Amino acid sequence: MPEIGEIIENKPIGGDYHRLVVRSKALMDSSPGQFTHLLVQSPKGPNTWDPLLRRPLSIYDVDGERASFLYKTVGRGTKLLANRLPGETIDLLGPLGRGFKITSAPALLIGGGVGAAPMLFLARKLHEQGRDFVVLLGAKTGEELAFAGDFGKFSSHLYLVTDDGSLGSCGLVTDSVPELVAQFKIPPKLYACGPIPMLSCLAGLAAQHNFTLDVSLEAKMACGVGACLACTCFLKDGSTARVCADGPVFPYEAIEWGRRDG
Amino acid sequence: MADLKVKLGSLALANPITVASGTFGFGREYAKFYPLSELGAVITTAVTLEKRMGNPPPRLVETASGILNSIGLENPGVDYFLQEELPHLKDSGAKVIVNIAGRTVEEYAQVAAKLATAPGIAALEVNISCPNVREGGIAFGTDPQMAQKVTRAVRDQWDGPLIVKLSPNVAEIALLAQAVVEAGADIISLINTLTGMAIDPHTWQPKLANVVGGLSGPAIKPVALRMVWQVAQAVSVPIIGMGGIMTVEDVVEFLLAGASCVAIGTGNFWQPTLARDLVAALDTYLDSRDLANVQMLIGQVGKGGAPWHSCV
Repeated sequence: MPEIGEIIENKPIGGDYHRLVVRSKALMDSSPGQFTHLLVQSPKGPNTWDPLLRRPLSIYDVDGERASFLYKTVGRGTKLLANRLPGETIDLLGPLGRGFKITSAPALLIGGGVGAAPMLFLARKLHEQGRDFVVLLGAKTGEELAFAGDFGKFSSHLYLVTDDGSLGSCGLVTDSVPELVAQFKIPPKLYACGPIPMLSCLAGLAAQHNFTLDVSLEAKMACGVGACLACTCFLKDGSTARVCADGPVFPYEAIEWGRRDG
Repeated sequence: MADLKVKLGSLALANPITVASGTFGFGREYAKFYPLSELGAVITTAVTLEKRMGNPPPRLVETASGILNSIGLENPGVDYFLQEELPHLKDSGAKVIVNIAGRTVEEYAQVAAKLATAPGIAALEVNISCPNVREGGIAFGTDPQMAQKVTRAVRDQWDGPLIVKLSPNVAEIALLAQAVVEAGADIISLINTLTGMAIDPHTWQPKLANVVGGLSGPAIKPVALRMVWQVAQAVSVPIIGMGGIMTVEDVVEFLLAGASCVAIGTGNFWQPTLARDLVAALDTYLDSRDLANVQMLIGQVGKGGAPWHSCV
């Protein structure tokens, strides 16, 4: 059911990134990798339905009734969301989708750009379960990794990579993956979220080195609940899957990477 | 409590609110939000003879107060529908209207024949906006003669209420309406999506992989309302009106224009409980104006003053 939550915090945190914290009961039941489909406009209206659709945001963290989101102001919807103020109400539909399946293997969490969002919540769960894990985050510039400090609460093994070398090492996240995996005594499971080229490259590495890899996909969504088939992706076995309801997390082998350019 | 019941010929509905094909799947997802029996009817996603994979992504673009989609009729096929989807939909207590589509006249007839053997389907809705493979890809819905052929072919296989859903991408909607009624349509629904396009000014690429798509949402409401009104003037069969309905005021406008029933489409994406919420809101609207039943609104645009003004 859509829930009217309350905005506790909504502020810029470097780059075009914002952190939104809401009070929500429904989201207390979330698991890492799930998302919330939220309306950027105030539920109090007036509503001109422009933008019309909800925005699917990965759940960044859940701490009791406090649920948070990390989002980048890339379009009109997220820019309007950035103007919402603490104390205002917000229409939340979630948690939705199927999240990451946590296994007993040690874990390597890989977040590219705003794809870091589901990784903090996953880090919290792994930390709570006392598991061994490493976090790898990449972005264009150091300014776009200003949120990386949030990961310090849950992990002491945090690696940062930037395209321009302004923070952490210089290069692409995918460059560091084989080396990081080699440092594990037991082969880790890889959990990744980020742009399609990054995920596609990781899928290639996973196939080559026999890694276990779950990816969280991004897609344009309308309903968010599996009815409209706008976010369909094609699978290796010739069938289709709904990113919103069958995903957004999939084992990398399931995806037909060549047919996804959206 | 006002009387919300409507009769569209032999199709009797508990209230005039239903959901538009393609926006509601087969009801499974929205049944998690409210009992589907609270709606007048559920109109399913289009069902075709064979399973269809649909168009490549991206299939969706948001536009000003609307969305453009090119889903491409992705569906599991009529046999799967009958086995795996119809049972739960019937069990939900909803009136089931099945939307059908095809590439050829024969395909429409074959789908209708299969559905005619299954009990529990209240009506068929024929989507004539599909490209006609045999006739060079021109949509059945833009040529009155082709629209008649499809309507007759389905009529031959289906004895129950037959709804034909009109495409708005024509010059004279009334001509299409008259043509399908002549060919045996009992009810007309309109409008399907308006053909549109979106381009990314940075990459210079079309935003949909299919290049063009169908526009829906509040952006198209005035066009839909005008076409419902024109069709209501041209034919005497009942009309299911749709196109950008988001509020109870929108519902009332479509009823005033001549629709006996409305369908909520894109609005379901905005608020998953919208269709159910509008049933209660319509009741409140009627009660607050001392209108005993919903019939008192149908086709009444411009006819006399509103009752609550009469005592002033």
